[in-house]
Amino acid sequence: MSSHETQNERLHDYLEGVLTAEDRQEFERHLETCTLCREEIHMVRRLDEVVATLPQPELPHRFMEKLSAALDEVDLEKGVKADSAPTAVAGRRTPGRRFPWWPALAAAAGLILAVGLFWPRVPKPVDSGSGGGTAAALQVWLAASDGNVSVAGGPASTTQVVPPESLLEAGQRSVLAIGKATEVRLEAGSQVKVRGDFLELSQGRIFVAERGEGLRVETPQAVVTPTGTDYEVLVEEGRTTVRVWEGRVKVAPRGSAGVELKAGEGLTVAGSDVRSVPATPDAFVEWNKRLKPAGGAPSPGAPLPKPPVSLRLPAPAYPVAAASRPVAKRPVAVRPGGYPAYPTARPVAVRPGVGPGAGRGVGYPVARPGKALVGRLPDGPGYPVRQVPGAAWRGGPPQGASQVVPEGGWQQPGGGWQRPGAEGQWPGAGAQRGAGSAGPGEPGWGRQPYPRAADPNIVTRDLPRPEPGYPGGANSGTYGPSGYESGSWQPPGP
Amino acid sequence: MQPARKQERRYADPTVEERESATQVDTALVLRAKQGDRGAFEQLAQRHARRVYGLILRMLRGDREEAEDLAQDVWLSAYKGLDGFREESQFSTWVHRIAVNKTLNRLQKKVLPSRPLVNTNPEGEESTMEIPDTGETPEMAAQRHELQRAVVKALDKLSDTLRQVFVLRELHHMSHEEIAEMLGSNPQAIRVRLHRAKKELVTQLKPYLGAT
Repeated sequence: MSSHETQNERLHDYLEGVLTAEDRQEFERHLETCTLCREEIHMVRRLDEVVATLPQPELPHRFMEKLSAALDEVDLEKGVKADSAPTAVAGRRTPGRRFPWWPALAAAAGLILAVGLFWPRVPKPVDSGSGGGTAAALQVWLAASDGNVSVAGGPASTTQVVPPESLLEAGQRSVLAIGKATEVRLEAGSQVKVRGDFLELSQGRIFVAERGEGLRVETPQAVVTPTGTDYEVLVEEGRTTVRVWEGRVKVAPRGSAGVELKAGEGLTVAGSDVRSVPATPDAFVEWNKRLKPAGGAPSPGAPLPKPPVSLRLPAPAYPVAAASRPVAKRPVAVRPGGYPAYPTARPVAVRPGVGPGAGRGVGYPVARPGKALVGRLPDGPGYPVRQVPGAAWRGGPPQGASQVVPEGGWQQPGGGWQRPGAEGQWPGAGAQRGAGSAGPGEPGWGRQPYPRAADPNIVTRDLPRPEPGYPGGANSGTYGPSGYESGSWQPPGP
Repeated sequence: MQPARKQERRYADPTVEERESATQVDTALVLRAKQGDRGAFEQLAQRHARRVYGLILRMLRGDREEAEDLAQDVWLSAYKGLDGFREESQFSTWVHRIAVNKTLNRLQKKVLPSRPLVNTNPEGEESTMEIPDTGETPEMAAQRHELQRAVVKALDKLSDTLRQVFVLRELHHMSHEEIAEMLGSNPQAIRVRLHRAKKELVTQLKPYLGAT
């Protein structure tokens, strides 16, 4: 017969039902005679009952909001890293180098045409690349369109994510945003499909500004792998044509080794028929012309506009009204001060249009020069964003923000700056929320406490300095900001 | 004071169906989050944040500030490391593992003050406790409330080693094998620790648990 101590050691195993049949019977015989063990079993069972009813502690106040802000920080760090790639590329693009490149390309193209030679194939054999990429799945959304775009057979809006494996048919000119910086412009009639980590172009023409997202484009005839560059892919009549304007692109015809194209080089592939072609960005210039303000389109023979062929279009590529597009989930940074007067630019404040702080007397955070306000501002049904002189977007307009206003005043319609009241009043009122009206003398222009308190949705970050000699910074484009200062994007003209 | 009646949310072991359903939802959210859907990750956090925070809070003996910091840290680590989550285990297990590791590191670095674990706000004032709406009388609820407080206090007095095992097993329903893996031990040693923890708790709580 075992002692009480020996049997008691089996008590918890008995309760958990892990004793062998023999041990269990022995323990139960012990229980018949042992009051201590019976009491202990009763108490352990009671303890288990109580433990099961213990309430889970409540999450700390605003835990999820704080977490969201912290995730924004992580995203921003990733974003800054991603941004650094195009900056490095753009660093080569000094004004002095950009413009002379165009006539050089034209001359080179003319030379190729005149000589009529096939461009030597396979100067640098490369991997075909198909399916070999390990990049993450593409994040693609429809950023802008002239209309008539369908995704998976249904009508698409300019806020829509393009899910994997769904066919996007661009009835008219459209822009896809991919990842944080890459943009793809589609000509009317183009058909693309997001396939994991690459884009499949089955028909039509796309203009790609690849910015380090590792975007690969595959067509029925070829695999196109760029490395931070601008290029064009055209698929028509069983033939794929690739033209490179900046950087380098690897083009691998299906079933064979590829070649590496440099800026100014092009390749057209139809089965085993591979030929060189001149790389003129004419098609893109045509595509882009209509985005220009009235009268801004170059006449035939006139010098190309500046920058000549950059795909870095200005903010109108993203309709301001698209405040609810999924990209709002990403952090946005507002760089105070316009380029290139960055070092001395005036600070700006972001006024959340919705969410905590909106119209509830919570002040607005202020970004000093060299800092960015980064906010995960909530999606909303379209909160117009207003850009004012002295403030410039980076990474798109701050979604969900009603305004970005310069600290210290607002430029009055007639010139000069209206400053906050001496008693520390901030121009603006809750009535502006979501309305987009925001100027002195306009409805809703009132007084409220000068913004100082921090909004937990928005954090302050150090910003990298804008690259020198690149007027307009990352959002510079073929025309200045005047077209979207009003905060309402005008659809491009015919 | 009449205790507030709120939505029941306890440490009761979820049913198999609940677990399977939750796992399916988690799997879908993880997939989306891995594709860069930040909202999906936040949904995952929303689903599990309270349990993860509760785990950390229990293991840290009720140090709310420290627990909140650690919980934030856990979710940031999960966000950064999501690509490395191979889905060989459930997402909740993976996050709990991160939480346990971080908490153990934290416990090794600093001796924590002993604090009450539940029902005190940061100022140390007693707050209203969640009482499941089970139809019990106020007297019964008050009695159970007192018992719960006693259990928590007793739990607080356990050594770190025993408390960790008890919290992971009894409050977070992890298997002995999972706990052993997290704590760098073996399942049998975990069983022994758990028995010791229960024995100590029963000894401390005899005046409460002994009454029939």
